[in-house]
Amino acid sequence: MKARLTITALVALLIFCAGYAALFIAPDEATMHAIQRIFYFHVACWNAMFCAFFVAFYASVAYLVTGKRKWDALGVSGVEVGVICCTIGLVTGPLWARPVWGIWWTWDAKLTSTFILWLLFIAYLLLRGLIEDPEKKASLSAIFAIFASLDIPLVYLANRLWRTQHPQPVIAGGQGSGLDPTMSKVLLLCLFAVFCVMILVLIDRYRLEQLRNECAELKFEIESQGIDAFDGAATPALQKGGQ
Amino acid sequence: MRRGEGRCSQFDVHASGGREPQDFACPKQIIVIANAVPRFFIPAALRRARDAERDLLLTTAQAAGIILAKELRLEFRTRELLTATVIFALVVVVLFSFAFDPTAAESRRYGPGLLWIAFLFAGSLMLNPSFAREQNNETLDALRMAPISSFAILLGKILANFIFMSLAELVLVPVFAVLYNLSLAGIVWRLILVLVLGTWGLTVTGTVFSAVSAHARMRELLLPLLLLPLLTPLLIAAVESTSALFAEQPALDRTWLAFLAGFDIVFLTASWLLCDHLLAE
Repeated sequence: MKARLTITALVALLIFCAGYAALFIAPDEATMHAIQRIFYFHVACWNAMFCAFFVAFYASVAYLVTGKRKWDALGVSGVEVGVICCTIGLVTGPLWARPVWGIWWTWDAKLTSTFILWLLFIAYLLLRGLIEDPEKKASLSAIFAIFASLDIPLVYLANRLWRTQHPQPVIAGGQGSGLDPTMSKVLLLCLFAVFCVMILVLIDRYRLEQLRNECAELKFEIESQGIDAFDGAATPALQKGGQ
Repeated sequence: MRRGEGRCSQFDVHASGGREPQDFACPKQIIVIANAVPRFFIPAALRRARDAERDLLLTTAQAAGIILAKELRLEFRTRELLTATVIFALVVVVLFSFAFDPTAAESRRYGPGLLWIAFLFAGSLMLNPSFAREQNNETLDALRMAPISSFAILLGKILANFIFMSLAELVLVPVFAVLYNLSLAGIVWRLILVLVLGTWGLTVTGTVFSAVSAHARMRELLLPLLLLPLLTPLLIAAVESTSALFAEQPALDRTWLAFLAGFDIVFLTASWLLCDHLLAE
């Protein structure tokens, strides 16, 4: 418990330093000025999101192979954290795009693919909420996560092919060529800091899911015992995997 | 009693004896991949399993055929699913005519998109009963008890849905061409190729997700939510290749056809690998 508190404090310090560096140490960008500073956290969020979704994909495959509940808990934690990172990325993107591109949103390949990615994993969370049986919930949502992960490269490829045939005039590409050395150092710090926050949240969410599972199992046990003692297990009114 | 002999009824599948797929130590997917490799390269133990699996493979095809026949018989007794699908897609197509002015030039631009969106919406509604129907009388448990691989069940249902969807498209495409002043002359075979590839991808993923959503509450709403975002690459590829056919100079867009085929292969393989977990109890 003490170790966890220390780690949490360290990560909080790290993200504070990263925020300070991004706002005050990184040099001003030539054309975009202050608004460009959102880039340090925007990119870092995407990085963390991909790591989280990779964890979710790996955990889903591992759940189907081994059948252990801990992998399912890790899978749902990965998806939830990934969806949060994705949401932050999707919000910070338009905030930056409005002053720089002049529009909030464009149906560019990257933007479209991440939006679909977000929709797919929101659907994953919805699916989990709508299945009662815990076993079914775990295996079916793992299957869906694998299908969704397989779909992402295809979504990106399709949008890429499509947009090269119909180029969009608004977009001139990303920052791309050559960052200032201080900028890239700050970016690296931010990437690392946000990654650490993601891992921390992921681990906490994973613990929470395991506690929830344990709690549900205990509740189920108590309920079934109570009913057994009460009227000899005649009533099949057991709610499997309660709230 | 051999399967595939005489008249097959819904009960033949689980009445017949046979080899349990669980008899073999290694996953059947590995064995089936081993079938593609020359005999010389395969260890003896795997070879025995493979030879046993060969019998099972034959019965997988037969079993899928039986499931297909059952689905077809069930549907053609009432034809309610097909009728509803065709009417629904027709309503979508008619509603779209209010969204823009359906002159020939405009139709060429927007037509393929709305045709595929109508198919996708209709498909995501039509595929729902595919597994949900089995829930009413727990008939899926009966199918699972049969000594057939779970991929056979899935494949039979995929094939049946593919046939239903193709029949609906067979009615819809000519009607669509008439309503939106598009000419089908000279592009029929190429259009059929695009439709087959697109519909196959739609039915494979749709049938798998119908099995997923069958266990959930609000499944009618859930299936489109799961399916439609996943199908965006398919939608883009299908619309682009159909647009190329409806253009002034009709052409077959090889890139998008290859993309469609790739999509089909990826998700058919994935559903083959995952079908044991999908239909497990």
